[in-house]
Amino acid sequence: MNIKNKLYVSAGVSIILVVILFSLVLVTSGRIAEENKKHELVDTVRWGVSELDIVTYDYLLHREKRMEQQWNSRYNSLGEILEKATEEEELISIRAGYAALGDLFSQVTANNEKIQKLTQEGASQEKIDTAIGLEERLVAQLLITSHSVITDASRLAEESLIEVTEAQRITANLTLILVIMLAITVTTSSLFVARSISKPLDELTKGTEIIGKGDLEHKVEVKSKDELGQLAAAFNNMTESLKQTTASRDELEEEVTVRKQVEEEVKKSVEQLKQANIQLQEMDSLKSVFLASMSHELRTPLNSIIGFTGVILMGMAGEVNEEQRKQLTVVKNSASHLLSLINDILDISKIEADKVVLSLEEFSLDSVVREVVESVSPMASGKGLELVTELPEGTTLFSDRRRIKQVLMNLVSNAVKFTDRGSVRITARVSGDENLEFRVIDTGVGIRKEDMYKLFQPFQQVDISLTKKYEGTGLGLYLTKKLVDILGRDISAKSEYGKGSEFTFIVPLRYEEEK
Amino acid sequence: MREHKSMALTNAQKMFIGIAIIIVIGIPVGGCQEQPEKYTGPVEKITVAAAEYLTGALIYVAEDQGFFEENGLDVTIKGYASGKACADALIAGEADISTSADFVFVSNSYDYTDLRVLGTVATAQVKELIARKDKNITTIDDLAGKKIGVTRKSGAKFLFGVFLTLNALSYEDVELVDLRPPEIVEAISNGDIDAGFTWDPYTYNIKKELGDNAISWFGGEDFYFVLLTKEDWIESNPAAAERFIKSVLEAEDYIKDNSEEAKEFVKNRFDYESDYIDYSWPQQEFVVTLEQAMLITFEDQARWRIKNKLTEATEILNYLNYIYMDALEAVKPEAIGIIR
Repeated sequence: MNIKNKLYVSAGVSIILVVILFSLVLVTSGRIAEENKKHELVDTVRWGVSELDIVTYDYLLHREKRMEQQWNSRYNSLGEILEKATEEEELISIRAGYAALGDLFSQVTANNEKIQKLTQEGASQEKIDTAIGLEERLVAQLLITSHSVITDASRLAEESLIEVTEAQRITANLTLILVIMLAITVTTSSLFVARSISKPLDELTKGTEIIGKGDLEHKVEVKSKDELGQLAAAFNNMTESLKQTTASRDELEEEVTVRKQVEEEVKKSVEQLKQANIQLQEMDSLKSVFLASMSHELRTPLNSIIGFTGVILMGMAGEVNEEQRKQLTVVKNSASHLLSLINDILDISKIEADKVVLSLEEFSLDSVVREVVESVSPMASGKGLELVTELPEGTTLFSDRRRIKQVLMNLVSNAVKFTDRGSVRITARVSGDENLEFRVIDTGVGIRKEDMYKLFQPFQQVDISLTKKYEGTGLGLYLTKKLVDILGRDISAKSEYGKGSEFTFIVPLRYEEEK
Repeated sequence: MREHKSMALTNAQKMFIGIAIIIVIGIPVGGCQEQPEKYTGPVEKITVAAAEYLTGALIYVAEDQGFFEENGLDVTIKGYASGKACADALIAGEADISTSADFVFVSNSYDYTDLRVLGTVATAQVKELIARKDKNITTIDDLAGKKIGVTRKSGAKFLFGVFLTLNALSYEDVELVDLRPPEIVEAISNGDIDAGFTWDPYTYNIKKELGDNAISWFGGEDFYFVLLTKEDWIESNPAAAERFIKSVLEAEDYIKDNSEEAKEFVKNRFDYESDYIDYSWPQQEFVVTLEQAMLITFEDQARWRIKNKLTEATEILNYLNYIYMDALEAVKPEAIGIIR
């Protein structure tokens, strides 16, 4: 049974007892009222007869009209009371006494008048004595009857009082018993309900404390089927959920810890990398400085070798036979190649060491392209290649003329070098209002897709097989990219192996220092 | 659905709430007392000739507390130094109601058969015999042959007779000196008389004068201070008479409930000394009644008057016919003890 119903049952039982108590009180108070009414009646009668007695004595003492008047008045009022009374049996003797009293008092007053009349008329003493003798008898009868009625009424009053008292006693006892029963019922049911509430509540409180301390394995042991049983079950379910949640949380916390450790390690690694990077940059810078110095030192003797080899080949130092010419030519070409290599290294070193000083000037696009074309024309003609230029007319640039030319030269000479037949096209167009876009398109060997990433790397030639066929330092495109990074905006390449390549680079029409 | 059920009141809950409300409301309502109805009818004028001393206190308290006004009466009080003067004012038509001692009423009853008694305003044993110890009076028997001051034709004379009779003496056994009450005070103080039989406040004054030299005995029967009126006034003003009695009964209740305040009021109203009011107050009972004993007292006094030839009449009047019970019957029937 749930608590609500228990409370209803408890209250219901109490109400039933109260109703019984109330009914009992009603019944017994009705009886008491009835007995009281009877008692009051006989008491009134007793009092009335007592008053008649008083007036009787008064009359017998003074025999005045006032006493007669009062006696009759009181007698009549008493008669009215007796007439209204319904208690026939109890009042039989009183009614009889009452009737006798009226009769006797009438006789006494009549006899008294007779005596006075006889006295006034001067009647014989014998007659007067007879009347007085009668009066004595009548008065004695009147007083005896009067006292007898008072005694009867007193007895009845006493009896009815005992009845009233008895009824009151029974009522009081029954009321007491019922009140005790009510108290016991209320106390028992209250205790029962309180116990059925407090015990599970204690369990729940203990459970809450235990679980609050972290013991999620604890179960609240409430077996009742009432609301508290439901609450305990819900509480246990909640604890179970809490346990699962706590387990997930522990895992999460562990993961967070691991992640933090990893993060710390990553931070350390990043720091180490930063340090390494700084060291590398320093080393790189040192390397560039070293290379620049070395290149300079190497170029001087190389220029002497090339110069003097040329002088010998020109025959200025004497006749040179064919074999000597052949070998000297190898020497001169090797020296030129070495010089070219050193020049590239020197340029790269300057760029990487951030020591490039730009020489800005206003110059004609056309002149730069023409110079490049003129330089590569002999080689192109030798291979039977067609050199085509497509340029916008009258375009001027504000930039480093020598570096622009160097970029263009690198790309065009590469194109001529790796193209055996077909053509090399040099195009330029103004892109937007600010930029100039160059394209160098050849119909040469092309580049494999998988080699494209090597294009702008230093000391790389995309196809090892071609290295011997096409001589090169492997620094050209690397240097070109570095220069475009400084001067221009972007350089890119696309190619189809066996069909040709297309290199595009963009430079601003007007170089700006801020850039 | 379950939630809805828990929110709504079930029939059982409504029943419990209903019972609780009935109990909570019922208790205070049951505890309320019925308030007396306030009089709203026309105001009637009454002139009262009232004794201007302690026994007339109920009239003055009723006026002071506004009971007459509340009961629709415009009462004019004419104060007199004695109950006889009050009765004289009533008989002369100067007042509608008077306050007088029983003896005054009986004295006038043969000559003025239209007098009616409405009820008492006080009962007391205020008549005392006070004697000087230095005149060798220490017991009642010592009074024989002594000079005793008493007022002729007064209630004191009658009660002194009763006193002597009850103590196996008679007027002839003593030397009676007819004096008015203040003269008794002076004569006994001077030693011109050996004892005096008189009433309050003269008894108090004598005791004050004599101090430890005084010895006293209360005299005979209770004395009734009654409200007198005339038959024709009663017949024309039965409702006013009823409201007058009601007002005086309210004053009686007030004195019972506020004895100290009433005592203080009376003391100030009549300019009494504190010692006097403390002496006299407990001897008075300010009650409105009509007792059988009062009726018998009237007859007793009438017989004494006839016996002492103070009236030409030879028969006792039927004083039952002089008592107007209807007013008191209407307001407080239990205060009527006259057998009827």
